[in-house]
Amino acid sequence: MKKNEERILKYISDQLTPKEKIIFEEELKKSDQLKRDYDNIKLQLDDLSIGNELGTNEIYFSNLLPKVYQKIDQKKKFRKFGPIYYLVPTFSAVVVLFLFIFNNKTTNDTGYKDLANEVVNNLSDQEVSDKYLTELETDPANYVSNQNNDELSVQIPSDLEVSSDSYTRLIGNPLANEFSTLRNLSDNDLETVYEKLNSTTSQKVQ
Amino acid sequence: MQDNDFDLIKRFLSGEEVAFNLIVKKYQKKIYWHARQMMGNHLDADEVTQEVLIVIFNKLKNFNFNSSLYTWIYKIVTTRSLNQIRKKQIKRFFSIDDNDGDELQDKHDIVEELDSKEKLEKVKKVLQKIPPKQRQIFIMRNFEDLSYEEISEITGKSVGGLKANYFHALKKVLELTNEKK
Repeated sequence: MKKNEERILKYISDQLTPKEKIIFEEELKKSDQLKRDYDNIKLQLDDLSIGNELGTNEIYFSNLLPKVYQKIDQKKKFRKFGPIYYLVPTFSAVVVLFLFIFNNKTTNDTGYKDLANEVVNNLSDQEVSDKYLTELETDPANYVSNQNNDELSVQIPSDLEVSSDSYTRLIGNPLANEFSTLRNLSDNDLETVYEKLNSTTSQKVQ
Repeated sequence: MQDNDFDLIKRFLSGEEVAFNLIVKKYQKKIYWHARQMMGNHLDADEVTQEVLIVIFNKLKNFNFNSSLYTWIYKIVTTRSLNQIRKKQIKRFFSIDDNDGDELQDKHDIVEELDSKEKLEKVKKVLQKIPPKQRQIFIMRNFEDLSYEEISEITGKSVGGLKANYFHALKKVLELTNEKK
């Protein structure tokens, strides 16, 4: 069957050459096996064919045309007012998008951009060095005290004793500075601390 | 038949809407049954049929009288059926349309006789298992008795390609029918 099936299907689908077709038809007359296989395949295919004999509900076909006209009318109406249906949500979406983009730009970028522009456009390297770095390098204590003037006016008890270990610990851990009472010392105490600190660092360096 | 069709088109184009009704009456069953065999169920076939009739109504003014109306309509039906199948496959992929809703199909089905239903179900089980393009040519050759030349005009494919496609469709159909035995 398998051997004949390929040839039979080629014959049915008209894939044989005219010469092959004549040979096949001759063989079909002579070979009982080929004839049986051919009839069997034909039967299977005919079994699947559907003619006009199917009993259908004719009301469906009678109602089809009114349904189609109804849809055509709906489409005509939509074409007339269609642009409005599309324009309103599209316009709203565009407005929301613009608001989102510009809001984001003003809140996040403007500060950085202004600062960057000021540095790039208005200050030369020399000016930056003179104005900010020199002051910081030559008198850092004064620079810091100018910045934190209000906080330095708080008085610290005069009997406060600070062990030399504490200075080392402060230098070793700059983070501790943030939470210490160092920034609350009076000018005199601060000078003492500064001197002791200075001597401790020089000892460490030596 | 062709002269009659051309006459109907001319009447429709001159504003006689009744000519469109006559075209629909003439071809609606052919359109429906092609769609039905392709889709395998009534609801999808109904959707395709209505869509095709609307396209005919809107595009008839562009008909160029080079081919027969029958071929022109067939082109629309085959394209729309394949599109509908693709749409369903996409929906299934995203699980929007996970089954065919058999109960709903039964309720709306226009095939009422039990014998017809059984036969249709048998054909459906085979056809729905072969690729849509092979299914298309199988339907045109087996159910609609169209020649390769006509199918070529409708689908725009070469006769040689169609023969090869039909051969593979037949092979697959036989495999499936033998499996059941």
